[in-house]
Amino acid sequence: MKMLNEITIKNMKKNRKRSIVTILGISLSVALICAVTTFVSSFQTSMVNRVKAKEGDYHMTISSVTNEQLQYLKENVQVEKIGISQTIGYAKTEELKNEDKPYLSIEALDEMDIQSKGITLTQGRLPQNDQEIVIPEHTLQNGEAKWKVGDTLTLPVGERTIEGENLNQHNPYLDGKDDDSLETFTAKETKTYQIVGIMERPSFENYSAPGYTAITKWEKPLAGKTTSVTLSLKKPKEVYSFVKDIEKNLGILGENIDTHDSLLAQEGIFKSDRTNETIAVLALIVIAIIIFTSAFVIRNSFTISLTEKTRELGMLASIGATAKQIRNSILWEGVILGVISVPLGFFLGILAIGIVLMIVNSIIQGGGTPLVDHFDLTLVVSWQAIAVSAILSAIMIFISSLRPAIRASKIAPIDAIRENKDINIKNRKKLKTSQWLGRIFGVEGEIASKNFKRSKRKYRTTIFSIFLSIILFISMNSVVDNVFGFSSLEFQDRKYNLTVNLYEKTEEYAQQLTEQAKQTEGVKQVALEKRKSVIIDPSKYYTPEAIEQKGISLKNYGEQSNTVGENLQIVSLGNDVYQSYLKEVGISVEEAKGKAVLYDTNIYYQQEEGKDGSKRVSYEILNLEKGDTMTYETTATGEQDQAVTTGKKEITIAGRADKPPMGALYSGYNIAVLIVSDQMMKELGDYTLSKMIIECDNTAKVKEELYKIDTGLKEDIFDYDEQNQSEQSMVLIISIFLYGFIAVISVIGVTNVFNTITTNMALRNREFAILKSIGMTQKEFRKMIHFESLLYGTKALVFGLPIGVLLSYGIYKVTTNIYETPYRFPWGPIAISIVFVFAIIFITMRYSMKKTEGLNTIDTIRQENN
Amino acid sequence: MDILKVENLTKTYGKKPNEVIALNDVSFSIPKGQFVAIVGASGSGKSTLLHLMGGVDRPSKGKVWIEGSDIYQLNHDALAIFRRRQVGLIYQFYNLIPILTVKENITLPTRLDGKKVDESYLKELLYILGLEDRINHLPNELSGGQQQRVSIGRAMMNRPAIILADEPTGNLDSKSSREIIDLLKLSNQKYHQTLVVITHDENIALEADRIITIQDGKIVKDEMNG
Ligand SMILES: Nc1ncnc2c1ncn2[C@@H]1O[C@H](COP(=O)(O)OP(=O)(O)OP(=O)(O)O)[C@@H](O)[C@H]1O
Ligand SMILES: [Mg+2]
Repeated sequence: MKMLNEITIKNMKKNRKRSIVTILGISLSVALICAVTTFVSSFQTSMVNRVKAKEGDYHMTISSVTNEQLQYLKENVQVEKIGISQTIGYAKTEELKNEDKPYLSIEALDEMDIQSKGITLTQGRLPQNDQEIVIPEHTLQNGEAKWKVGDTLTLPVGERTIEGENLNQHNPYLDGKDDDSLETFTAKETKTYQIVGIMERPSFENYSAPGYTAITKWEKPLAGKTTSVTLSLKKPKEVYSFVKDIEKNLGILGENIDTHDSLLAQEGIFKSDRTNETIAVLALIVIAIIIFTSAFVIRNSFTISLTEKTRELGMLASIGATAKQIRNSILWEGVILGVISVPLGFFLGILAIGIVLMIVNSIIQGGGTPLVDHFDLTLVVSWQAIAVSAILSAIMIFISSLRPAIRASKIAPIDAIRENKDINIKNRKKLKTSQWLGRIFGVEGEIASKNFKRSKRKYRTTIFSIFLSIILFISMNSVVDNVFGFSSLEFQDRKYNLTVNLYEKTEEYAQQLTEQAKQTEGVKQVALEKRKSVIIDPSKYYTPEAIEQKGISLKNYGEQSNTVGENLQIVSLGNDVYQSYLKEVGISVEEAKGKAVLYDTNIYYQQEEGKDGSKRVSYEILNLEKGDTMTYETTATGEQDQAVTTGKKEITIAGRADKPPMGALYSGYNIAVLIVSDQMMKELGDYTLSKMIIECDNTAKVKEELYKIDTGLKEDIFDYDEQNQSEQSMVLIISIFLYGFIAVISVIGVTNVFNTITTNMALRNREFAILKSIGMTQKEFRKMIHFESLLYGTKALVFGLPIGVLLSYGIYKVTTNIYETPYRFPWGPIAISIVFVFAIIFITMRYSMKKTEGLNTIDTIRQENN
Repeated sequence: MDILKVENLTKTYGKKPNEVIALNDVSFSIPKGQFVAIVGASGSGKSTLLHLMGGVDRPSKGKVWIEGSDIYQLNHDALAIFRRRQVGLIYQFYNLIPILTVKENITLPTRLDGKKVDESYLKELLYILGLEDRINHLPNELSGGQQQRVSIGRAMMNRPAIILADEPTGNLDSKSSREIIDLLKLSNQKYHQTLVVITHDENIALEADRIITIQDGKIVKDEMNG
């Protein structure tokens, strides 16, 4: 027993290459699980922290809470923490100059509530008693107040009413202008506060609120003031059922309960069961694929040396080792392998993610203002996942290492020694390599393909590892694609960031502006959008879905009717943008000449029986395809201010585009757009200048340049960067996450393939040496190896692609539960797989070939095992 | 004319304290058509010498000339082509390609050379080697002697100028041994091939034109026969 263990260790040392490969294989598999889970949990934690910092750390707020209700909530076992606040009232002061926001809204918060609501001080300190107050910094900015820390404010505090009804922060200021009625402010008391700090605008203050939130300390219950609480549950999962419970048990009105949905969503809890289910199934698929892959990576790393191992065991058996002894020695080997490789795998996986996060962080934080606010990626290791992967690896190592023992015990020792089981002779007769193979690749090709057929196991192992990498890549891409498709609906990945309204401007003026914009540094693209509105007959050109969605009654249409029809937009964007758009959507200039490109992807929300939440369904409005011609009418305003048609014309569709043109926000609006060239727009005539659309690095700079031409532009410019910073940050975060995920998966896949191929090649050194010793030249040898590479790649792709596509379709099916688009065939990932598979195989084979080329022929032949 | 010349050939293994001198400054030459037997105790360096002569090993020192060219000066490919055309090597431990059948193994050097297989010669070889009913078997289905015969066939298939055989009859009964030696000799006479055979069998050594005796990596005796 002892002796056998020693032999095992000696053997492992002697067959260093094989041991290293096995260790690497196990480590890779552990690293895969470790990297993926660490990556996900790091991202999730950072997102949760971001939301907590920005929007507060609580699960729900409840307003207008009575004393009994408060008592009940305080004593509830489900509640983890509860923060109490009371509204002191509105204070009117001349200091505030903002017409829509003339009040301070004074709130008293207890310590827990201050913490939960994520109050961020920019100056001073938090209030320590009910005489002290913290004011938000925007009182000083758009409120233009002259307050500073240390000032004492004496304020009339009271309530806002209209027709006897109390108003709160959700009711904007009613100033009596326009058709609004005028609200009344009634002072009830006079209060004196000392300003002790200045804070960021609290996220719970909505933009249309009439009062700036000021915060003082809540010390004791105040009679006659409404009380609100923020609370967190011990188990976030129970939030939505908890809400139902308190509605029922405490009689709290649903409208007074506000769940913190964005935080809960980051923690993986969604209001809609449908979303919950979908995400659970998607996560399950991802986990299943990853576990399956890593299990097989381990199995594979053992299989590659199965033949040698079996032979070794046969040898041991032939000199009289019992089956039990052999089994024990193998388990011993498994223990050694596991002890080395599992921690190594953890280390590698966490290290890899650590590096990725560091890079991402330096990108986000680099250069002064962070690209994404409040987003600090820290490494969070999920220990549960690590424990699971350790156990899984142990089981896989156990099973895989017993395989050669079982094999060896089933056959006679001499058969094991002679590798009888591993060289397949059954199809000896059929082995007539086809003629063309012989002709193209000669004997080398023939040897390669015979090797391929007769020494199946090793080939299968290699092919299997490539195959796994392919399906891993394609299916994960599909997860990413679907998640991205899903999220890009919420966060349009808009490419442009500045628009300038040009209605009622002259064409020369527009041209001048465009030139100026183009010359500004950091400007990438400028489009000058022209529009033409035309009328079409929906009974002819609308899809049934569109007719249903838009609620069009077809009775109104047809020859006899005088209803004009539905509106359709034709736009042109300037030559440069038009050309690059054509390229982007894959339509050639010739194809598009004299025709229009159709962008027509629209979304509606569908409620389904028995399911909560709605499902996004995408549909098309026009029933036109490439080559179809459509008749439209143009209208003019007639004498009695009604639309009159000015004639019929025709337009032909050059093709459908799957991406919106620059400047389009159409997908939300449910309209179809035809994109034409500038020249064609001119030919169509009667268009209007719409706007200039700019994609640039720095909107401030461009604006500055444009103001030089016309300071009056201030009213017409819309700066998306300013407006949508957080939205853009989200897109950035999601992209980083998804591409990072794919990168991790790809690296692991490539390493696995590399590992398997180099081992396979190393194990065949002896065979190669014999071939060389009987006179195979380097060139012929390379030819043989290249041919083998071709066989590997083709075979792996033939099996991998269809299964990858199948899986991707399955994943798509799962996501259609909450979000429906037509299935996008993964052409991109397939193309990438094909190129990469061959590239990696060829590079790896070349690499291992280089290594064998340096070896001494006879030494290699003599070393039976290496 | 000498077809093969060995000059100060030395082969050592390992580093200084544990250094093994397998071959120690050996020089001799063999004229074309000669049948040479190399004899010596086990571990004396015979196989090492043969491998060096066949260009499948690298000497630590010294040179090997075949038909006037210094084979260790040739580049990889030239050496490989040289091997398959000029040298037939029969290994002590066969070294067949496990995935190829008997016929495929034997014809491999010819086919690597891009030449057509001489079917009648192949048939004749297979007949003499007693392998005609084993054509489509894989090496691991053969007995040791049969494998040895396949490796002999492989070495002879290209009718090389030199045949280097490392104990070609080590696993054969006396009748089969006889036949193999006759085949080698016939080939030696018919095609004027040079034949170098390592053997422990005195009877075979006595049939050679010349016997070289090796001891501890050195030639201790080099004598012509009869
Ligand atoms: N790779 C190697 N490393 C170290 N020593 C080696 C190596 N190969 C051979 N030797 C040593 O070189 C010496 C000569 O070996 P060689 O194989 O030439 O002997 P041989 O005369 O053919 O013996 P046999 O008749 O048993 O086949 C031996 O002592 C052997 O131990
Ligand atoms: Mg020997």
